[in-house]
Amino acid sequence: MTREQALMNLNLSPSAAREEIEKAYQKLVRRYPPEFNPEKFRQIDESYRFLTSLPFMLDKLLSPAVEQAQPEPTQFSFSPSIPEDCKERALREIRKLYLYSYLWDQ
Amino acid sequence: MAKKKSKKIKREIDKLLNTGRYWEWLKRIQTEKLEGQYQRELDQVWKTLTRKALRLPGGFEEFWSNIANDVRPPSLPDFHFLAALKRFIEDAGTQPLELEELKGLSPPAALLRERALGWTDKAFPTEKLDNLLKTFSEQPQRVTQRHYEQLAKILGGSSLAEQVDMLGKELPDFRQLNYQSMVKKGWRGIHFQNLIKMDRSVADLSGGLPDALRRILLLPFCSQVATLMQRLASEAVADDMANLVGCFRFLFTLVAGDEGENLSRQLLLAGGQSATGLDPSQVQSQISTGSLEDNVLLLKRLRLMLGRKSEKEDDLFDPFSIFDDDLDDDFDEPDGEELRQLFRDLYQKILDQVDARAGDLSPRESKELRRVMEKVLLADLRLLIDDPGDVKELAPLLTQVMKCGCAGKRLALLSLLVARRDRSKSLQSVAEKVLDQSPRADERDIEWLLSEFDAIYFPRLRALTPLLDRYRNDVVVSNFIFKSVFGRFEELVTANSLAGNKGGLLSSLMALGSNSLTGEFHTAQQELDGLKNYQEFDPLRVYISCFSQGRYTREGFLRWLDHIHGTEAWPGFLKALLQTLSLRRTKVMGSPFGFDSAVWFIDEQIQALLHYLKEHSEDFRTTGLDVIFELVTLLTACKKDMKLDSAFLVRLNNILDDRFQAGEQDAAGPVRRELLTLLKQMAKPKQKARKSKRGRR
Repeated sequence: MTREQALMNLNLSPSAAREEIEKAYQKLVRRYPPEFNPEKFRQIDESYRFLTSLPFMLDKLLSPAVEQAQPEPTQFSFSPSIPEDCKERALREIRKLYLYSYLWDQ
Repeated sequence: MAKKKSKKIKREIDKLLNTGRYWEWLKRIQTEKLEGQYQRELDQVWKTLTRKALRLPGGFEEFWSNIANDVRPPSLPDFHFLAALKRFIEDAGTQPLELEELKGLSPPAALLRERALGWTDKAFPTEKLDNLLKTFSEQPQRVTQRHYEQLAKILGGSSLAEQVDMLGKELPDFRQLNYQSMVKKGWRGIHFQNLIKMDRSVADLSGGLPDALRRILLLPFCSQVATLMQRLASEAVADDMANLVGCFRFLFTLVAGDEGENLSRQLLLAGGQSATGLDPSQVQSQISTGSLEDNVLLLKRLRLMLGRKSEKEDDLFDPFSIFDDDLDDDFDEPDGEELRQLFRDLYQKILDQVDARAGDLSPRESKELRRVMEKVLLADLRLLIDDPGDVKELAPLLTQVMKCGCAGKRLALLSLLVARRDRSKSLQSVAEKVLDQSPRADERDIEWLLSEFDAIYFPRLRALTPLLDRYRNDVVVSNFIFKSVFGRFEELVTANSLAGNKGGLLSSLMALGSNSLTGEFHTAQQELDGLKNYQEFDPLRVYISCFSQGRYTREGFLRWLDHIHGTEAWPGFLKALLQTLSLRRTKVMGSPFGFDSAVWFIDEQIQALLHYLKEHSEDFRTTGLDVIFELVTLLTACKKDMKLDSAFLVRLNNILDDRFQAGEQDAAGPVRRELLTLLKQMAKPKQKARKSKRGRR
């Protein structure tokens, strides 16, 4: 489990504060009581403890089984581009260098 | 005071002037408002700087960059000319009319004006360049080396043209990465070290180009890299993408834009044990800016990398490693030392972050934190310090670990030793407190401490004081400490005796450190004198008096035996000694190097012991049969190489017989049988070697 996953399990945003975590936990525990949803409850409880207990979080993260999720292949779809005025600026730069050469290298 | 200050300022200003740092001088006199005092020098300096700007393009650039830095220029004709020339150079399409109107110019300025007036924008191939740059910016995939050559041609034989041409020569390698044949090969066609070289080349060759032109000229390279990444991402496993991104350290930031930083972070944390292309500066920045959660994930990654690194370093000693195809895989990897330093920096940061959060933990959570963190710290301790015996290195680490509540009983025990050696009372008291809150330290904890960190307490035995004081009433633990120290002394005496022996490989090896062994013995001896209040060490003091030179002697050994003989410990001691000698002898005899001196040393001890036992043979009437059994086993093992005293063995047999007659049934058991077998073997005359027929002739 990572912080992102724990927050996602409690339907929280990355910037959630302690109070929001408490509220979300209470709400979800009421919705998924352990008697009827043991697996879901375990997930919610672990996520809550991950976010609120330092030793629990460290233990989880240091466990060999936990790994940061690899980026998705789609994250490597890039279309490299340049600023709109880049061509004009480049032309001016070349002209300047051209003029330097004309004025001083004669 | 003010006079003194103004003198100092004047001195500094004069120094700037005299050393030719004119721009700094100008800025300083303007700041101090001293232009009036330096009027003559001011004119001279402006003349020099203007002349330089008129003579070289570099001087012209420098002039304007400094004018922009708040230096107020004078109202001179040449300066007005330079300003007009600047406007003329930078604004395409404007005619140099204002240049014509300027009067009173110096000869170099007049010459430049003449050249400028001769310029016509038609001489500049705007259209051609525009078309060419359009291809670069709009269809970078289609750009080839030919386009760079065309651009270089337009730019003439200038240094810029040469740079563009050289850059273009790098493009075919990048285009090749996306050829159909390479697409078919997939990851098999990728050689990380080549990619790193290609990326570096592009970075070097494009350095110094004006910014916008550089961006445009690099776009075709970025485009090829983007295509490559997109294609390979779908087939990537484990570290592949992290390595690939690591190879393009320069181009990746241009390719990925704003997403680059986040993606690099994700890859850094999610990658495996490979460090190919890992950028130490990126790791360093992640350490200083990353959250605790991210840093813990990074810790795992760095640990994996270090593990792989040490495996590779070990492989270097493998003679077959030269045939390993993957040897060049670590091209551009940070070396082991660099990785270790990053690992240590990361630990520091994590401990600081834990410390910042650990303040408001409940007692239960604090206990849990100690359990979780001590386990990790103990496993990583060898990576965090170079020398486990160096208290100067250990003390700050342990102090920090204690401070943030990450130390459990083992680290607290270690802190006790370190605190005593480092004379740190605060560390000792925190360690005591942690031990009070932790479960009782047992024999295994002490064994771990004394075996892993023996260099801390031996020969500086007084380091053990806090430990001895704490466990004085704990018989098990204090006995264990005593036994460990005794064991170290025995080892030292043995090693030193071997070093003193002449001949044999082992003696030669030991002799290399002979002086330091003797020195260590004497230091330990002195330290032991300082532990007079601890009676547990009394037998050790006797032992040391028996071997006062730090080496084995028969007289010393017999005196030592005599001392133990008079105590209750004798039967247990004798059994253990017989077992140890037997074991050592078997080990040395089985060694492929045949350590003769070691065999001699052990046999000498056995003979001395047998001599002593013969003199005290009446003891065997009461000695346990298990001890006699050990003796017979040892004698059986030695019979080939040692002349055994048959009278002693017969006497032993008779004693066993007497014990049997007296009603001790076991005295006729395996011990007796073994002894009789040994006696029979000794009684049998050795077969003479049969002479061969050939020998008779």
